[in-house]
Amino acid sequence: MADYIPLASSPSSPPPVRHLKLLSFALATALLTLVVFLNVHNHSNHSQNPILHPSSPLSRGPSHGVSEKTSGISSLLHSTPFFPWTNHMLQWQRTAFHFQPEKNWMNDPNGPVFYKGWYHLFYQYNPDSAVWGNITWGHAVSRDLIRWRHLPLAMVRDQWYDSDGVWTGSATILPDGTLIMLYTGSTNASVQVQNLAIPTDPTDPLLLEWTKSDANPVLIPPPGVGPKDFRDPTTAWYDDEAEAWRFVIGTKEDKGHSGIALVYQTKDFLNYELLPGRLHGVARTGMWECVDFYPVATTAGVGGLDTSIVGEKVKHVLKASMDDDRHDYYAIGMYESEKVRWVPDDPEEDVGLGLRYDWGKFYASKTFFDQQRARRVLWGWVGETDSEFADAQKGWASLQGIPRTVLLDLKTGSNLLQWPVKEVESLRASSQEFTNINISSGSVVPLDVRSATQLDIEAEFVIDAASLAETLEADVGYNCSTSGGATHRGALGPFGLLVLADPKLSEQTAVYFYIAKKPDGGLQTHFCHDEMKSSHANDIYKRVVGNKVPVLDGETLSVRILVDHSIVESFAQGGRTCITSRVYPTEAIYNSARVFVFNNATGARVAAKSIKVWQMNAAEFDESAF
Amino acid sequence: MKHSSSSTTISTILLSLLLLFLTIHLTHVGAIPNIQGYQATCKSAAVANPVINYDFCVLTFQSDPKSVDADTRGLARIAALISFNHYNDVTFNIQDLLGKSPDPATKFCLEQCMSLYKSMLDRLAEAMDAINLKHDETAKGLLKTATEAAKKCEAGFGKAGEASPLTQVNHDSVELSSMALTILGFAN
Repeated sequence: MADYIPLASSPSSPPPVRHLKLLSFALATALLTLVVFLNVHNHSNHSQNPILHPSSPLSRGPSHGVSEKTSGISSLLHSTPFFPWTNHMLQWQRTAFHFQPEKNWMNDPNGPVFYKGWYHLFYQYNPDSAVWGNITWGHAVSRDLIRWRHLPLAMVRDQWYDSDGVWTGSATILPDGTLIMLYTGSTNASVQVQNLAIPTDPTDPLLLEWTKSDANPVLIPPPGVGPKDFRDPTTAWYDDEAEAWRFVIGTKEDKGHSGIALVYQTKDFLNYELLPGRLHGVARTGMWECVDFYPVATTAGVGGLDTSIVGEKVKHVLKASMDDDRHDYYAIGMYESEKVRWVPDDPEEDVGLGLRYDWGKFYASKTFFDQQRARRVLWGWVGETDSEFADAQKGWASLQGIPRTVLLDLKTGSNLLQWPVKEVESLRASSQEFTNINISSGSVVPLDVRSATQLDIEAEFVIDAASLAETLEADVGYNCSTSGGATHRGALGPFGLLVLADPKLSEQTAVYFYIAKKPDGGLQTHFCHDEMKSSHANDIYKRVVGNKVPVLDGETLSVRILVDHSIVESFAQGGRTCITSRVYPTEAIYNSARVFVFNNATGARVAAKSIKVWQMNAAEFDESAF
Repeated sequence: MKHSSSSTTISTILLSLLLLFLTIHLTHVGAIPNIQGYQATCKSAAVANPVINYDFCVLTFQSDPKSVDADTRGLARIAALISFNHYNDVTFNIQDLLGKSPDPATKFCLEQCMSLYKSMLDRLAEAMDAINLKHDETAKGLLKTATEAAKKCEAGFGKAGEASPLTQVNHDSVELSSMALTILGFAN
């Protein structure tokens, strides 16, 4: 309604009225200016800066799930035409004992579960090509998590609610043994929804056929959640008080650019209630994909725990895959079931800020409780770090990491321990042991290992006390990613092993320790992989990666390394710090691959107390036992 | 006598504008999403290259969740990826058609197309790598080659005096590879 200023009764209007007009004019202008300013300012600062982890600069904009090509201190700057890959080199890259389909593209592990005597693994799969797309659920079964039998596709894109992609999901086994699967579908309008699927024939131990519920989609994005920010439902846990099942879906909110975990509750997996608030959220971490949430025992001798176990005697791990930086982060904390909240033990090591399962190439991981062996097992997607061109040539892309058991480290209390499942040892063939090798400063010592492309290595190093005491200078700020890798010489490091190295050492992948002295005189050990010399080729991503590793008083430095063609996985201090590397040597392949130990420290007298090397057989499924 | 109320009018206008600005400001704060980045890019691409249809472009990017946060280079890469999968799908289409015992002239054209499309798979994979590496001239050359290959496949049927069973998919090939090429041209 327009202002109605009364007509002045006479030409000489009383001053107060004119002042009022001027005042309102001035106020309006001022407010307008303020609002315009705010509007412009708000746009430019609209998104909070996400946390960028220095070891992995963002490569913006690759498609969801496409083998992420993050570059580090990298050879990419100097490249280059494509390396003249030969079939001989490319074929060598296929692994002998890691899970991979016969061809084409794979990404996230899905619905891992033990059911009626079989371990099942489903996975994101493109049945048509070696790049991400047309995503369906691949399927395989195993008796031992190591030897796999590939089966037909479990689920394809045949409904409107998953025609754009049958995406990641998790299995829940109900107390009566019923198995249900919740998974994300990308609809024909590319909206992310959650769907229920159950085995068509629950008596079939191979779970060949799946029936999608008529009620699908059972969940659509709730108000406030974006249609493309709602995916990857977890395994459900049972809440006694609510007498209902709960599970988590990760998402994000603009406020603080936070990753958050929402909790849904259901009694029948058909009708759902979004519980108020959120299980947890962390600012500046961005979208949380592939959330996982599970209990770990705080006492020894217990092994893994069923997902439904809660209470004060356990801790809960909350994990998320950070879409922004393509790494998997976890944190240990306490879950309060009445409030439906989880709180980290150490807020500075909160989800997305602190520990990763793996400091190399490892994403979209998921655990399951193996009720046969009472252990919690972790699967993780290990993508390629080579070119799309090479993937198209070789006709496949991606591996699953070796399955690992997960336990709380009872000695430190502040990290998990991951270790290859024991069944890996059944592949060990001939073994060799090398003991008490003194590695003088600046030297590289070959190990007489005949064929070195399929190996299980357990090594123990000692560095003599005098070396440690003699070193006076503090070595602050060491960081695997920003260091010069194995060639950067410090007083007390680097030292370790060179795998997939050719006899001339023109190619090598270094797995090493680096001890840094702290200003207070204490020691901080770092554990790294240096991929920079892993291959002559420059059309691949090569980085130095790793992290600190806790070493307690009295412990020697120990590392286990699995070498399997184009994947090297290592586990330091019993699995406190783990690193996965994909490497693509051009010369250190087939019979030309060797193993060396090295000591590139300037002041440390290092000895390899013991190095055990096993040749590993290929994991072959025994059809006769089928 | 009516007193001039020009300052009143100005006040009114300003206050109305104020209200308008406040409304706009508040709706942004309320996190109603702005026009998606790729929609703007599609608009520009459609203007820059008449082969590209705005709606098709938007639908293409909609199917990939990464499009929402992608910068221009990222969108170019997504377009190249989708092109790769499309060209790959076409090879299956051609295989199916060959399996239906077509007449010799059609069969010949289909085989030509198969050979063209198969060789373009490697080119498109290389294009994705080149986009990542910011070797844009290389990438553009590869994408142009892919576009030409699809046109050549289609033209082959015309030359042989046969109806093309691949018109729609060839058209999509041209459009997708053109999207990648044009959008790459916008990237820095």
